[in-house]
Amino acid sequence: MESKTLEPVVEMVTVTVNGVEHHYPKGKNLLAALLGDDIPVPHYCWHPKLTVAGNCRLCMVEMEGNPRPGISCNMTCTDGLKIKTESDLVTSCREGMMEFLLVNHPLDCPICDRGGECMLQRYSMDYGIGTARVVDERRRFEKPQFDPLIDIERNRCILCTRCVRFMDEVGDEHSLAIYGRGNRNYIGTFGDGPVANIFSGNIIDICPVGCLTSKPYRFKARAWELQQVVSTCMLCSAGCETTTWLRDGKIMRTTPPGRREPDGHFTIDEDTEKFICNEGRFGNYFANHEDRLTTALRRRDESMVVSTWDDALDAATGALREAADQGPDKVAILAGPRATNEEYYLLSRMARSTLGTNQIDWRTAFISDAAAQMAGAALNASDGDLDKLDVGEYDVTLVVNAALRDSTPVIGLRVKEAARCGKTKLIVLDSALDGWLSDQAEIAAVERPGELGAVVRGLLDALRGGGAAVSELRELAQIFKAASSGLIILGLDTAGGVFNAELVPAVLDLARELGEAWDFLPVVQARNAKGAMACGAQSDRLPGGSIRGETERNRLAEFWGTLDASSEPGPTAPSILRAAARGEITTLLLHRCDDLIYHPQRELIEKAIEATPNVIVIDVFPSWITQAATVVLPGAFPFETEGSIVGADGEMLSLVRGNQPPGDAQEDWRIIQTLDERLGSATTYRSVGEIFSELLVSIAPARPFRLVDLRLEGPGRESPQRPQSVFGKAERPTFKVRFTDRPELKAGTSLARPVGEGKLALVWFYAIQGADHLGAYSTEFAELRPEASIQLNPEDARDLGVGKGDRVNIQGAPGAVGPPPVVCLNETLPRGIARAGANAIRLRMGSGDADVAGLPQIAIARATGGEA
Amino acid sequence: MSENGNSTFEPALSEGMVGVIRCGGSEKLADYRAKGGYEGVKRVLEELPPAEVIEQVKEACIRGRGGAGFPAGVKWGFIPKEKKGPHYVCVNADESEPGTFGNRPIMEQRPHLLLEGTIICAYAVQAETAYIYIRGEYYDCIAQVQAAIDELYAAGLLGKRILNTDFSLDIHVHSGAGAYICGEETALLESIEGKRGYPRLRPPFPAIEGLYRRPTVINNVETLACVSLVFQKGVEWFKSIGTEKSPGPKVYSISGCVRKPGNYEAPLGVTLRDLLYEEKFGGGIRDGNKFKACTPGGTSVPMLFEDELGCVMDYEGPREYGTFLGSTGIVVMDETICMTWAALNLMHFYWDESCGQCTPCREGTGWMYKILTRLERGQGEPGEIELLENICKNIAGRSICALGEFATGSLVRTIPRFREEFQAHIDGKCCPFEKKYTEFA
Ligand SMILES: Cc1cc2nc3c(=O)[nH]c(=O)nc-3n(C[C@H](O)[C@H](O)[C@H](O)COP(=O)(O)O)c2cc1C
Ligand code: SF4
Ligand code: SF4
Ligand code: SF4
Ligand code: SF4
Ligand code: FES
Repeated sequence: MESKTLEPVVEMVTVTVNGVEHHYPKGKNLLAALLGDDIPVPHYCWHPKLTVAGNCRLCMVEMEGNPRPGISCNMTCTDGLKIKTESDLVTSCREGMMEFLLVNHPLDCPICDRGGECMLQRYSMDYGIGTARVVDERRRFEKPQFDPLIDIERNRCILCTRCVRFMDEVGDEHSLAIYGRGNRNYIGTFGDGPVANIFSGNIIDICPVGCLTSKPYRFKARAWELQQVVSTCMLCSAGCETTTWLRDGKIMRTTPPGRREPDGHFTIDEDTEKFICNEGRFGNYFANHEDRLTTALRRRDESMVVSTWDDALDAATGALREAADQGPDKVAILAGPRATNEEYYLLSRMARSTLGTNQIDWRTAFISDAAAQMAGAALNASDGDLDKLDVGEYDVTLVVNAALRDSTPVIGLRVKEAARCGKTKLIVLDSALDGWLSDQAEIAAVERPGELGAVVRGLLDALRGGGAAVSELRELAQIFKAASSGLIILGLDTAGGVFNAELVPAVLDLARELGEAWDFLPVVQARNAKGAMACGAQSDRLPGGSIRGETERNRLAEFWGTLDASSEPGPTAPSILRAAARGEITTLLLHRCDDLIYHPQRELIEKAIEATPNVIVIDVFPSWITQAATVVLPGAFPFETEGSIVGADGEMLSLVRGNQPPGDAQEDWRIIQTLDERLGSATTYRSVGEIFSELLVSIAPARPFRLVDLRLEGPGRESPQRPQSVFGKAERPTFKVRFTDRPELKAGTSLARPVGEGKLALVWFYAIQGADHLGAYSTEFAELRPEASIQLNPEDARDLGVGKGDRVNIQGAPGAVGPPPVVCLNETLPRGIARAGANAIRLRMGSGDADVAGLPQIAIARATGGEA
Repeated sequence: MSENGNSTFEPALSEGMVGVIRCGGSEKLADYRAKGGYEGVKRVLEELPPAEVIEQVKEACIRGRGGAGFPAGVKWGFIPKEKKGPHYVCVNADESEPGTFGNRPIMEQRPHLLLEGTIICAYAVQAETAYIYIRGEYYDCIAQVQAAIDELYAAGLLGKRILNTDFSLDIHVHSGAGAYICGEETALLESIEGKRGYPRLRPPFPAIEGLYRRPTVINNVETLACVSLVFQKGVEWFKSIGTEKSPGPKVYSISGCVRKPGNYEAPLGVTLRDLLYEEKFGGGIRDGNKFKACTPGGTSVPMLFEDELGCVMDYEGPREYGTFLGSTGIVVMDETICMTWAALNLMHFYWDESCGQCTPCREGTGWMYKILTRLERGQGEPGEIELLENICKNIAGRSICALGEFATGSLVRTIPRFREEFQAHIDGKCCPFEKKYTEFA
């Protein structure tokens, strides 16, 4: 028998259901217990992730010795409880309730988007009386247009308030409410304004009927004619499980994982339901776009022309071979951070074994070598096993330097939820609070950009009982000491990782000091960075370990036939790009270059591509980069390919292929494999499964990546400094941390570099991927998605003469070239600091190392020609 | 008078008030004190520990006057003894039940009788804040109660350290939100919290998680007025009035087809017949007509009919007939009243006032209202009377609060009793009665 790990003792009680004894944990919600036991109990208003409302009255059960039925969703399991879910009384309750719900329900099924997956249809069949006794006219509501993404058809609403509770409790937006009274009640927003929340799309799923439906999906398809592909969202590193619903190879919609019932009925699985963000839900339509690359392209003089695969592959192989023959530093591969583990593995093999170079790296999002090095080190140090990112399991959660909502929304949501429910004590430490996550923090602290590392060092001192004259740090240390477990989340690519050199070593030391009970989760925006690191698409790492590791080298040499690359780490992506810009590279292979398209260091990228004779691109959409390339090979999207991915929590997830790539496009692993073959590689894989098995063996010794294994490779550590910190204690709900409370830290003096007259230092981050290149191709969503925004301190905004909702230009150098972003006021921002998604506003900043030391300083002016 | 109606009964709640409501001229603090007012508060604060106050209220067996008749002392006893945060007292003065207007004269004319009881209650349950939630349309009540509160602050009977004891109390008047449902105690709490007047699920009960999720007592105006009397005149005095299980005086509101509609104070246990026919009360049916039906306890409870006039009007009496004393709002219907029309009239109210939170009440009241509208116009379909009865069954006991069941009050006893009259509307395709009072559209 397998031995089980000790679980906390839960007292079990005996509940008699329909005469049969069941054992449930004491105090568990009765309805949840029954459903978990596959005892069917129809219900509408109850949802496992929301508070109990008890308004639909459908979940009634009979209680022994009580002539009145009770709602099971508001009962808890107590010992000796005797109930019936099947009895004349219960049947009459269900029949009565179903009849009431249909009194005013329109006969819309033929034109209702919910048809086929509607809980009202379903329960009417299962529990209704089957005949209609209602002859009177039904109540009708006007149909407002209240949200760009969500359609509302109030006549179909059963007023279960799931949507309202979702927005209140999860979305934290309070935008939905019930208006009216009695059977004139209706769901609405103030002044029919938008629901406006990055998680709002979830109300479409949790609405049990067809009242709230998806606008992009409206009238597109019937659920039963769609093919469901279990997939993983690739738009950010939260890596949510999703179901992609396809028809004729086109994406109709994306939802959280769904379930098809034996009777053909579709339901989103409530119990395991994970809420996804609007980007993941609506932002995946790009795959349908007709501009997809469907043929191979080759450069002929000034333009790119259609080519056969054969010619294109020949050209690519020729260029790679030529460069490799010139030397290992003449050829380089930049692997985009949205590929599968197998693709990374193959790219790594091609580089190290076939081309004999270590110039392969995924870290294009980082703006300096040091930033990239440290990011790699941090990822390497992260624990591989975070148990589904169940943040509530940790006593304390420390979030440092991470724009969680804006770059990895669901990671943010998990943290926020756990903090809101009081399951974890949230501490936020940042140079620009987002006012969203930080609102739930026990303590939120703002520190000057560039000095976060020093604060962490100070905290470390305090933990060790040393100096730390700053009482707030001692207080924080107390909280950390008292915690029996904790999680540290560290944002690595905020401002392109400019703070990493200082911050990463400090945070790793902190994590080591706190010990085994603490987990460490480094976060980058882009999906599968961890996979890239683990599978060797990082210049200093082979699949499964360091480039220097003898065992790794021997093992891989056996798998691959040869391993020619040296045991000296290659340069990071930022260094490769700089070398290319200096004209030092002959052939550059760009696999998935979406990160580079709107890279803030545009000038550098342009130079690199211009100065490199051969640029081979594997991608899915045309861009300025494919225009500038020499060979373009059309690839595939996640649900068009098989493969595996490492989730944010360290878990391996698989992608299921549900569709053919369009036209001549190919799955990326086949492209890389064929290139490698033509280059003369010894091994061939016939399937993704084959690669996966080899990859698992290769990387196994390095998993899980425990903190104690940490080897810091990179620039030396900064000596600890005494921090000058400003801490504020979060007194929910009126919490504020004011940088300006300290006169010596007034705008201008507070920053790593003094801010010029009228300028603001921009703390930038990578907004969720849909915000840029791919987002533009997601036409269904492109016009509906929220506009790019920039957060300003209200006082700065006043000085600049701009207000909330104004559009502003960010001109000059550094500046932004996107459509003018909309101003949002964030009073937790220190003065002199602005906050925005670099890719959303199309930030352009310099590439010189001098610029890298700090943040771009931008000038903001109200955009003219806006509405009067 | 019935055997319960002590013949020497002196109205104690209403004192000088007679049948009709008088406006203005509320009793001033000095006058009230001259009659022994606030002696109760003084004695309680200076001599009795809170637990003892609750004991005495239990002993006096003051039944809640708001409708359910729940013993006030028992309710107070549910409040946790150990105080871990604020406790609250909420006075239910939302009085919105059709035909119920007995709280109004107490607040308008004897506000101190209410306030004294409120202070005693707050002391007993260790509350430092009390809210009086007064029906928004009762402008005069709001004004008089507020004026009386001002007097109390000036006299040191409210605020910090009342009568130099350790007990402090603030009382706030909260104007009602204009919905009948806000009289339901948990909807009232939501309303005070500034939210939509949606009744809460129970458990948790207000005594454990009430206003702002803190232990809370909710009592009706008249219940607290009775508390004042108990501590002014003694438990024995109180129990000498009324019946054994329902002691004390009661204000009965009589309206409809009687000669002298109005509020009448009588001992609990007076018979319905006495209330309707005695000259000092209702004075008989108007125009010498025959009595047909009445609501004994507001329009929310099933009706009583001609052969049931002997009903003893205490908390037990009406139960024998399958109805309740409720709020003692007696709406009288004589032989000229069409019961289908009466049911329609009431259904309109409950449909309009249903908060719409839960399925059976929201949809059931609207559906029944539509059916009754047609029925009354002679457009009913055969079988719809039985359908109505069936709908009532599907609502009763299955809604969140009692309003759902209240909506069936006009039908559950009336249809069986007057089935032919209802049926005549269907068979004759019109209403057999001539007089019509209101059209409901
Ligand atoms: C729909 C509804 C309306 C009610 N309206 C009132 C009211 O206006 N005044 C009142 O005192 N009680 C009203 N009640 C009863 C209260 O819920 C509660 O039982 C009462 O305030 C308790 O006070 P008592 O124990 O002093 O009677 C109502 C109950 C329901 C279900
Ligand atoms: S919500 Fe359901 S029952 Fe209603 S019209 Fe749509 S599919 Fe039909
Ligand atoms: S819109 Fe949907 S989720 Fe919201 S209350 Fe209506 S039925 Fe429920
Ligand atoms: S949080 Fe990230 S992975 Fe999850 S749905 Fe949104 S974009 Fe996709
Ligand atoms: S029974 Fe009626 S009034 Fe009470 S909660 Fe339900 S809908 Fe609202
Ligand atoms: S699920 Fe229990 S009342 Fe709605």
